Amino acid sequence: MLLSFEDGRSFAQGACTFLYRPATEEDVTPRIIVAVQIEGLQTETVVDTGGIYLVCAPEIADLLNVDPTRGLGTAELNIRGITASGSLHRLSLTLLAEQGQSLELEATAFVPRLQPNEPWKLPSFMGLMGCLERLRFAVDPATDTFYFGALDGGD
Amino acid sequence: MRRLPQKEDVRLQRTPSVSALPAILETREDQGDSLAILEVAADLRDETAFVQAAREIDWSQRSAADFARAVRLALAAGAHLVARHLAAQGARLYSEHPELQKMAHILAPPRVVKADLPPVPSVRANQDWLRTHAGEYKGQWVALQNGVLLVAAATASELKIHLENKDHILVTKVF
Repeated sequence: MLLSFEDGRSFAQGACTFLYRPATEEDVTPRIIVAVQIEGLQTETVVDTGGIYLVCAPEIADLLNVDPTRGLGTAELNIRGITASGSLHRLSLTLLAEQGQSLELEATAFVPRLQPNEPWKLPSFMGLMGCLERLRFAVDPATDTFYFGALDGGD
Repeated sequence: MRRLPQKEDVRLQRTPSVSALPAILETREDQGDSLAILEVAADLRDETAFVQAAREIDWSQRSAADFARAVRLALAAGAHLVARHLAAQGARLYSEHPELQKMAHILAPPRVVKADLPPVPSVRANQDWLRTHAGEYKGQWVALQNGVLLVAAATASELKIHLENKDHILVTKVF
């Protein structure tokens, strides 16, 4: 069942279950991990309300053929204690509903730039500013459900 | 010709005071270039000083090139909200400037494009697979479809070789 306000307006239009586990091999704290589509490619992202932008793991950006020259070239971002430089892009992000309706938005995405043979040990993240900031969202830890909805009037 | 302050000229130090950067630069002959203050703050990765300095600039009199430079500096300083605001303001003032238009587009707040897309029931099946098999495939890239493993590979590039079509397939690294 989806969430609604007292007056009947819907709070969330879609809901999906999330995985609750550490996000990396070194991580020991569980994170909320949801399935999304980035530019049409289905993958997983960590919900990171302390972060900004959609951080698109470089391997995923490579699978999507994201061209760094088409973005804003020089940005630095601290991601979970790692300072990465990279490029900013406007990418499509779809939150995938199991119940209700899926929701597609345009978000600002940061793609880390790696040196040759430099490993990337982090997943993709959905931060607040630039990504989740114009959505309603809620978490039910009893059922591992992530609810999401557009603001009234679209964006 | 006005000379931009050099790092050694202003003897840069990271200081806790947000007013420190303007104070340092006031002692220099080239204090008139207020964007130079932003440059110093960006070099120091001092977001707080950058935000303070940006507030003190009269942006209504600035050129398109100044806006574009300030956005780049804001991103380097980690002042991402300032970068968004400057890009939007610059794009409004200079609607024919391609770089500012691109900056404003990329940095704009997220926008819902479609809010009525169908549900994707296979999400649950793929998550069930990951819950059950994560331990066996830790560190590998996997492609799943409706809860069935299609391919596992050491790298995303290797996985890509085996995937002709990525529609309705979950691609992820198993952590």
